[in-house]
Amino acid sequence: MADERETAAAVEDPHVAFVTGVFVRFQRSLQRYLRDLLVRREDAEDVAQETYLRLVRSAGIERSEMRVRALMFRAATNLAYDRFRQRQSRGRHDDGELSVLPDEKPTAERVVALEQALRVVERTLLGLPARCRQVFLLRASHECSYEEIAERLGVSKRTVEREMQAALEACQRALGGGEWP
Amino acid sequence: MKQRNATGGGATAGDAARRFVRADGGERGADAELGEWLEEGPENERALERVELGVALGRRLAADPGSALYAEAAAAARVRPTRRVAGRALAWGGALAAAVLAAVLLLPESPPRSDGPELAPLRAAQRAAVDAPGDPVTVLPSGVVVDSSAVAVLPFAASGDATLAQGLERDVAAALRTVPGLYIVADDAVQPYADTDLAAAELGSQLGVRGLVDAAVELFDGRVRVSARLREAATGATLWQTYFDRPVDELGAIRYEIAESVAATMLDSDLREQVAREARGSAPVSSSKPIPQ
Repeated sequence: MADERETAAAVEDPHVAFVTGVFVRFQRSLQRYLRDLLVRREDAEDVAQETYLRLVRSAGIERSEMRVRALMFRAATNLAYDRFRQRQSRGRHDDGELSVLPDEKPTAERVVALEQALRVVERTLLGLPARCRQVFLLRASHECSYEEIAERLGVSKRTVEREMQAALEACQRALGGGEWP
Repeated sequence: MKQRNATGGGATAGDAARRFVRADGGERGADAELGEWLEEGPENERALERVELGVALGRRLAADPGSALYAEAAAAARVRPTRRVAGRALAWGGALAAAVLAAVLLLPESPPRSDGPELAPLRAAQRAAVDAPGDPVTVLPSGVVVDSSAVAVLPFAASGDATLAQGLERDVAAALRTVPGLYIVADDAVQPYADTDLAAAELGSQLGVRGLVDAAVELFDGRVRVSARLREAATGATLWQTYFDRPVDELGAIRYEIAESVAATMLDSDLREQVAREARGSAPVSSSKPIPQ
């Protein structure tokens, strides 16, 4: 009963209601995305749940559905990546631990999708022209705005947008439909 | 790289990336258009997922010292602006002008000013940032050579809810990243140093920075209390420190005040150091022009 009251109170919070709406709208897409990365349905569901909690806890400043969606996928990828790193580490330092869990596939199989995706993105970015890669890194890694990048590189904002688009298009093509080489 | 199918790498490839960039750049109406486009079919969702995956993994690779992109990402952050827009120049002009003023006081026999009196300080400040030595360095007591413009924003300590401290830490780092001439080490790279007992010099050596920013954040009765400081890694000396006790809705302003003070202190001490070295007649730190008055 207390739980129900808490849930009702939370949903009355406009921020929670908004992010819940966005989460529900894109939940299926998110779970498919996470299954591609993490392979196991249970892992994907855990990370999706954690992603939702992160969204709810994040400051209620975003009022755009698409921005919340972008935040949701970014948070989910980060959580999946953290899980991947933890498992890599456990696989290296504590090989015996995983073997006692029932129905667990070997570590390498469970993380192979994300590991492959990382290598695909790395290879793709390294294969881009230098300025294109620089634009991508300044935006994705350092969160510079397109205007700031244009200023730093001495080019127009339009050029920066074109370079960013080219980098993203290359990543998207390389990542394909989830069957990474 | 072989092509996949239409959902991942076919006809919608350019569309997804273009729409993502427009929305990402905050173009008016782009968000709504992206939402409508996603409704058109699952292949569009799939295409956008790949774009987002590329961004998210690229970001993680850039922060991973084991990745071939790590060094390039760090180098990209050091790219100096080649031109400035008026707003930015004015925003940071105060800090830079203060730095130039310090240079003027320390270098009385500098060449005579050639610009008109009104524009000279700002132009000089801009030149000082743009033409400053490519990578002035500082040698730490351990013998490690670090970039003089590098500052680490260490994990902020939280009393109670950690979200507020983490948010402020991230925001200060983001604001500092917009300052030309500063190289910021933050986020994932500094997480292992939360609650660290390491001495400033050791932190500087490990992170490759000259300045260390840290803070303690507490939320109490609707007010936020922030104690922040900037230390010099080489000596552990506190170069700047402050204490705020303000309503929580002023958090945004606090972020900028911390970033501005850190930037001004770093740039100011950078120029002082350069001027002092030149005055001592030590090895030139740069082939660039002397700082004009």
